[in-house]
Amino acid sequence: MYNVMIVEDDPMARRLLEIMVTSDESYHLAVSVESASVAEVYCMTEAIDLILMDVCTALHASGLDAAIKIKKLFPQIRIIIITSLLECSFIERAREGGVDSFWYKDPFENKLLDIMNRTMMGESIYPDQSPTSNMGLATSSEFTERELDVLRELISGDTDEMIAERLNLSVHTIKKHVKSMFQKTGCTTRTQLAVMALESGIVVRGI
Amino acid sequence: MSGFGDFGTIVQSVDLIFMFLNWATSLFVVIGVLMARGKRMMRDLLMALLLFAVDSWFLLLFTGGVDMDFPKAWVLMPIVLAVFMSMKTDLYTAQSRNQKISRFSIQESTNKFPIGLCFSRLDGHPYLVNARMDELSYRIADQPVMNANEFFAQVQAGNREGICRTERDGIPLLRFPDGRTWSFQKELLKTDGEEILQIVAIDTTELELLLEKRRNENRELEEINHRLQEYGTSVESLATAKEWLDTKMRIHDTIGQNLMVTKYLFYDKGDEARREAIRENWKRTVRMLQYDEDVVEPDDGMKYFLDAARKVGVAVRLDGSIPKTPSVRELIAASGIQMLTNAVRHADARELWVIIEDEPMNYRMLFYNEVKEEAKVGSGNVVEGGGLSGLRKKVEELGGIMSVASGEYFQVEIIMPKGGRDYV
Repeated sequence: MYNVMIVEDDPMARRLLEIMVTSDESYHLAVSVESASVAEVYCMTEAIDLILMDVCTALHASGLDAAIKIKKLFPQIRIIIITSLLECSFIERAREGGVDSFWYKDPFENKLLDIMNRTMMGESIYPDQSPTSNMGLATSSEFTERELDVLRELISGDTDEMIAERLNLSVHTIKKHVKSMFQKTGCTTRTQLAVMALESGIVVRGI
Repeated sequence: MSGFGDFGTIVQSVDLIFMFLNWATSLFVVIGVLMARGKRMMRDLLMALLLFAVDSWFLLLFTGGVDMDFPKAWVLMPIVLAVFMSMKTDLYTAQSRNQKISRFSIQESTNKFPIGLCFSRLDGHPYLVNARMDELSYRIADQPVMNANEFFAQVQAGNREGICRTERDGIPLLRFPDGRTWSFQKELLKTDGEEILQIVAIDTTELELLLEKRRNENRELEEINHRLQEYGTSVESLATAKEWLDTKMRIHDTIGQNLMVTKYLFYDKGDEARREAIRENWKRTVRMLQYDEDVVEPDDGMKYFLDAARKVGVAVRLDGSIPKTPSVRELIAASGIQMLTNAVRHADARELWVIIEDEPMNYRMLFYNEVKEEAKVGSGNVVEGGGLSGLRKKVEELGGIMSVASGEYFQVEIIMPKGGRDYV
């Protein structure tokens, strides 16, 4: 029987996961918490075999960062990232950080059970690609990596100078990327672009 | 010379001296024209050479023994020579004037400048004040610039009625009742071993208008950015609510499917495996429905910290009251969790102290735990890992200060100003 830790801040989603885990004899629910910031301390004190980790958790703690850190400290613990966010950098970061599997939340819990079983068998399961979403006239797959970096900073509401400093680019380059995104999406102002990005979930900041 | 007598000899001698001087002057003018190289040099040079030739001929004539009647020639001679002298003087002066700038011409030129200019000694005694600067001085002090230092002091004070004084980068700006804004810059110049004070006044009205426009636009942008950040927060809440709704809809759909299958099984016994499967579905659904009634709002961050500490067997000793400000409570929770993680990992600690002081301008928070004997290091040897550096970043984003020390105890102190930025 595998000891499972659930890290999910949405109480209803956490409850669903708890029910799913406890309904299968192969798994035992060891810990269920709302914030990824406490996951590490439980890994030190409990015998955890598998973590179902949400990305955006309570106390603004990044489940992705916590998962990558836990994999370094406890490589034997399997981790499955669970998210409904479409931010495309999550998959790459999880893969590079050594996270075992990645799952986009969908209505089919049986599918998650299947992923859990295969992960515990040593398989690494990732979606072929992030789901696409529409942003104005464009889809998320039409943006370059750099444009997404700029868009991610744009939703902070900071000036081009501050964004350029954070991304180590020139202000001119930032403006160039913003202009390109205007053309792709049909947006005419930065605010419109930022609002659209927030609503689509194509980029998430601070995780 | 015949019929000259004594008087004639004296006159002759004076004329000869005069003639010689005239001849020397001609030569001097020729040289002067050549050196001046002024405008119309060739014309002036020809004139000078002609005069020199005439003077030379006269000199030869009256010293060379040419016989002429006195007194006509001798009386007329001075007059002729005087005319020639005058022409040469004019010629030379015209050439010289082309190469020299007078005090008057400088003053005249600077009066045409659109800017105000004042040059003075170090004690303020003016060397040159142009008309524009005098005009400004009248408007500021009802008099022209009498002393540059006193004038600039009045500019600095800017307390004349109707005049509004501001400053940009340390340069005083005066806005006059006519709406024009002038900047006044004072500078020390060093030239030819002498120090001179320079005051320059420039009309910066258009620049100030543009700067004011830009300041207003920046204020608007800041407001938009602030609203965008607030919107970002509300979008997160909306996304959470949407997930919640999706889950409820999922449960609703599951109940619908269960009812259909159950109804079917009433009429067709089917196999036991299917019955067992539907029974399990109902159990799960009922458990979900039971929980649904108990769903509550997310817990305060402090609860996560205190629950985690309790579950891992670390006692939290709290001294002071936890502020009600949500961002500060969250920071205390995040800090406490980080300290808890470090305490368990590095120190195998069983106690964690949290001291919170509510000062007039700040919240001061101190977290500390005992350190294992072998892990006791000097405070200068603390290397901040990912957790502590992440915490430091959060603290500094909120406008706070964090310090870390290790000795008998490992401690983290955070000072958070009241009224700081919201937690991000």
